[in-house]
Amino acid sequence: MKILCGTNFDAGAEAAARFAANLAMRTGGAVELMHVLPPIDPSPFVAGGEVQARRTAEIERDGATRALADTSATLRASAGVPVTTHVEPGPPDACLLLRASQIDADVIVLGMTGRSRVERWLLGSVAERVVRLSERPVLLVPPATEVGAASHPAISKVLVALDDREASGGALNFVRRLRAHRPCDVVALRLYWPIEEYRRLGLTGPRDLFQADTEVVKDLETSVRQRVGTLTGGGAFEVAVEVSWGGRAATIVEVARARKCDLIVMGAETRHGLSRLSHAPVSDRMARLAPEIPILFVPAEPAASPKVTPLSTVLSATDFSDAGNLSVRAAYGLLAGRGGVVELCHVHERPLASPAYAYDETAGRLNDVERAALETRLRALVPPDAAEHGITTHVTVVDGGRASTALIQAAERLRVDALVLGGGRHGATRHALLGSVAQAVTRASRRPVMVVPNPAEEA
Amino acid sequence: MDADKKIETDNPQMILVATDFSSGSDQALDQAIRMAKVLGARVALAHVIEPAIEFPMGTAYSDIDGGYFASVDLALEARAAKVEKAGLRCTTKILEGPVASELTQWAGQLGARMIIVGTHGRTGLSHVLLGSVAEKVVRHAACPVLTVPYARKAA
Repeated sequence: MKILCGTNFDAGAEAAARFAANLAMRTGGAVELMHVLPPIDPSPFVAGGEVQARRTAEIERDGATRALADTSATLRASAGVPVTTHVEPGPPDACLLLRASQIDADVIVLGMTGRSRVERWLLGSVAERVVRLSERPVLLVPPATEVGAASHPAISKVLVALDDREASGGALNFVRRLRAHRPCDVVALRLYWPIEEYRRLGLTGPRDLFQADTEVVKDLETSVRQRVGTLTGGGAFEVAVEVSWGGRAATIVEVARARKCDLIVMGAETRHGLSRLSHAPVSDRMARLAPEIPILFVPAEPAASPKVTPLSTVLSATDFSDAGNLSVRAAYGLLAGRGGVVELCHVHERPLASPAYAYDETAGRLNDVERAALETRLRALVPPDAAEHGITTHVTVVDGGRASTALIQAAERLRVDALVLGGGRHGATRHALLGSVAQAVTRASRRPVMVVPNPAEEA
Repeated sequence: MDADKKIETDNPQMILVATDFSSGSDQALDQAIRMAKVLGARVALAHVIEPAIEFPMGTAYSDIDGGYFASVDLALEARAAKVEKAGLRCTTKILEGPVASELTQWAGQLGARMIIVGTHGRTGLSHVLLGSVAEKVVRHAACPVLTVPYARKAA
């Protein structure tokens, strides 16, 4: 791994340089130490100002070169990695980014400054701007980071914060690369907002809004594990799912501390302009919250074309009408010959409390006998030769809610590849008057939907 | 065992995919290639040009010049090549007229057993104003229609 380490010779920069060397040692890479000189403007009030300015610049450059040589010698001795140096005058953030692309650095390492809020507001922070503008991963190292002896790997446990956006894909890939070189434990953290997840999964009844809900945790853990797939290299892998009510940075740091992680990897914030004011960048807050854990920000990688999943699990829904039952047969036909799973589903429509995740609505609820009767009716629809075709059937009766939303939620819960519904094909008048479940599902579903028309009904 | 309850295994011989060359419809095409491979079907690829106004002596197209048809041909050929690269037979056609009815008509002529369309996932106001082609196809079609939502997010 090619590492560019920016330094201004303060305590934070020293920790950053040590961490960079350790990372290079770990991945078998090289470090380039870089110092950016402040541009010196000649004073217009002094005769020969330009000559003086040039001299001052030379002296500064000499000083920086010597200091860099010292630091690089120490690093070479302690970590045994190739270290080069580079000095350049100019605006620090732009120079760092330019140099990073010149040497094609895999990661930029910077020390965090210990500036107070007011100072940061007035002066800004080079690190923060680099994080925002960089197309490469940026690692911020706080001054208090303990880098053990050179031979000791500084990274033994990594926390990678994931969300459902593509942006965190880059973070995941970086962890993969890190682990390919030397074993380390990985904790994948997924934060969720309870209300969003309760709505998505259609979980009803009084639910806890501040503690992690077992069903949500189970669902999100499965999707995180699917997303991560197999991690090569040694070390443990665990998934943490936590509730978050906005203080994302604080929760991430809390979890990292509790699990004794020594590196946090997360997707870089890409907000610009006004939205940066309303959503202050996490990077800024993290630096204040975690004065001992280095944080790596990885920008989003260009989106790979989304994977096309083969349809092997389909949700087939019926209201026991002719059209509905026909669509069940079509669902089995879809999987015939290659097998799969049919989640056979019926929605018992009844109004739910609003919001459904806060209260329990008992009026009209199915009792055990009614539920069993519906399940029997569903099972009667399973074609007798389903098993021969290698198709397994699971029967689900959803109690409550509107059919369209309940089906979409059931599809999320059951993690199906597609939904198969009856309906479609009726004239404009009927359509305008009745609408259709199929139409509502088609519009709102995040998964493919197959709509099977009823030939008996003429357009 | 009663016969009419058995699974119909006759494969769809032809799968019709509609494309407007958007990335959403390319995802639908990927899904179609996958399905066709599994089912051993052929793929029919259609692009529909919607005329703006019909005049007695001909048709006027909105923002279309002569080069448009050529570019449609090219884009369609590129996608057909993708299908053929997957080892499937592919026919292409440019249709003119209202999208939904043209598609379902051609599906009927071909005897297509399934239509696959992508959806943009417009909701709210833009849905009311722009409507949804996919929805109209669903309403008009005489064969099953598979709608593939445009995956902007990783699920």
